[in-house]
Amino acid sequence: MAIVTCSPHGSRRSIADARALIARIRTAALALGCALALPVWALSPPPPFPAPGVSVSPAVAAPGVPRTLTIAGVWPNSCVPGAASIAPAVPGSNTVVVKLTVPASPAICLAALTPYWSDVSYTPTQAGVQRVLAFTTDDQLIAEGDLVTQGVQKARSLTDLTGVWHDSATAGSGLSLLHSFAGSDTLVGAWFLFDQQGRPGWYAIQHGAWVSPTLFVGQLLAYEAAPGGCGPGQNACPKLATSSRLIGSVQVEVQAPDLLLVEVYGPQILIYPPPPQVPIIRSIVTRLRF
Amino acid sequence: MTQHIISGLPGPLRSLGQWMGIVVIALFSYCAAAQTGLTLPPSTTIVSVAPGVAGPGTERTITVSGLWQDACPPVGSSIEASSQRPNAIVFKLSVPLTFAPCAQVLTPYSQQAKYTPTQAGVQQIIVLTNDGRFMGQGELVTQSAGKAHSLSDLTGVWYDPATNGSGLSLQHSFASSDVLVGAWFMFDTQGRPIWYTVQDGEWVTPARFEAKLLSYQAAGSCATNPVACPMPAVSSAQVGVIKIDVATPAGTGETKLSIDVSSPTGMLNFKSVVTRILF
Repeated sequence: MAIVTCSPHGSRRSIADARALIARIRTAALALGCALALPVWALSPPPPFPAPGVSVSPAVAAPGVPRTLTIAGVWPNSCVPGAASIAPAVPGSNTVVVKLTVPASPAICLAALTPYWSDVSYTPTQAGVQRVLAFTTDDQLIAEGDLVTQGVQKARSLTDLTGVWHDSATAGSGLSLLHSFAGSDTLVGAWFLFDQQGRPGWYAIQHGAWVSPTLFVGQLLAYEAAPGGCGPGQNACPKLATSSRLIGSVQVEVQAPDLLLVEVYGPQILIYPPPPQVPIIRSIVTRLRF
Repeated sequence: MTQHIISGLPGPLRSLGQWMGIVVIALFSYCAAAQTGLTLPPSTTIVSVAPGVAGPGTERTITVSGLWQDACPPVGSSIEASSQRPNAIVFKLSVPLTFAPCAQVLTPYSQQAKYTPTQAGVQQIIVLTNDGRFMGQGELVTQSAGKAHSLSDLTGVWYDPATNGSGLSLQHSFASSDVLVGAWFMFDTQGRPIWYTVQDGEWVTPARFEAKLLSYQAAGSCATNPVACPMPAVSSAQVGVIKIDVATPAGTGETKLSIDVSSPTGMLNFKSVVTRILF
């Protein structure tokens, strides 16, 4: 314990003691702080960092349901953008513009790559797909994405399936899908297969609907044309189809944005009790990237 | 000869009448503006680039035009490269910042700015106003020095109404590699469905694509489906050459593909003009 005296030496000693006391208190406070903080940290790990770009939660919902748009990415310095807000919409535009505020004084920012994310709430009023563009307040485009809103009575898909899909085990066969994702959500396709003799034959996927945001159910149809009509010596040509035949019901299940399970079920046999449905074609396909 | 009612009034009353007339017109304009404000028609933004395709280092003129929502359209423009996204540039429209009222009438506008891309590829053109409003977007196509780049994305199903049931399915990586692949589904001489792939091609000019037409064969049988199934192909053969010319007749806005298929053996020789199926 320090004894305070009025002599010049005593004054110096009491100052030194006071400094030591302050240092001890500081250490104790730091230790106490760490002791309190550690269990809290151990109980609640830091939240996962959102995926870069635009993400929406819930991913699909009806009009009138508030949605959280998260803009995330990595910023070139420590002055990351934040405080996301929705910019006023231009009439007739199908685009939601999100603005993120960037600090006005970049001179004091540390030049280190820094993750950032910012949330904003938005409530769509109509079903459909809206493009989301995220800008900083100095008009830099930093992220793009889609906001999917389904009709009250109708499911809507989550991702655009347009592309060529194939299973590497059956390379040579392929599924070409066209998806009006941002418009009517219609999905049509052509499946390029081989018959029992190994001859190439194509089948159309059409007349379908989205049962859920990840399940499409349609029809697999075979088309035929009248013989002839291709000119002398020719093997094939574009011709008018004269008949179509139902092969079965086709189900396209979106397992991941680039992974589909495609199953075809033959027409149901009219016996009772109905036998369990077994797919006549089952294929897991991935999207070709080129 | 008719005389206006105000003209017949004595001096002070005539002046008062004229002022009242102005007030009534102003009030009417305000009400009309408020009314149209409730039902503003959609704004239109058209982005065009001249020349449509060129190599890096060639100065391009980007034109943004359309109908403005009121009588105060943009008075200038500038281009800003996006530091965050090299594949995007911002075309900024300078809107007059004024407290003066702008009449609520749709006003045609057109603004131009010059930009010289330094790399081949497709850049997104984002149109913003200087007060931060998003107006629309377009594309700037730059081809590499020795290689043509297409002008538009041809992804879709294309068909000729005269041969409805046959069709050409195209997948085009327009914004990146510019690769175009496809499959033509048609019928053989017995009327059975048959398909050929369009692959190993290249853009000869921005509007002409040439590729091989290939036929595939498989071996084996389908375990569960008596009709057909996915099978690995065991052989392929080139059956012809396909030439696709892209044209968008002025005024229609609808792209048409003129296709010429030929083969040395004469197995496949035909021409077709197809349009894209819209759904």
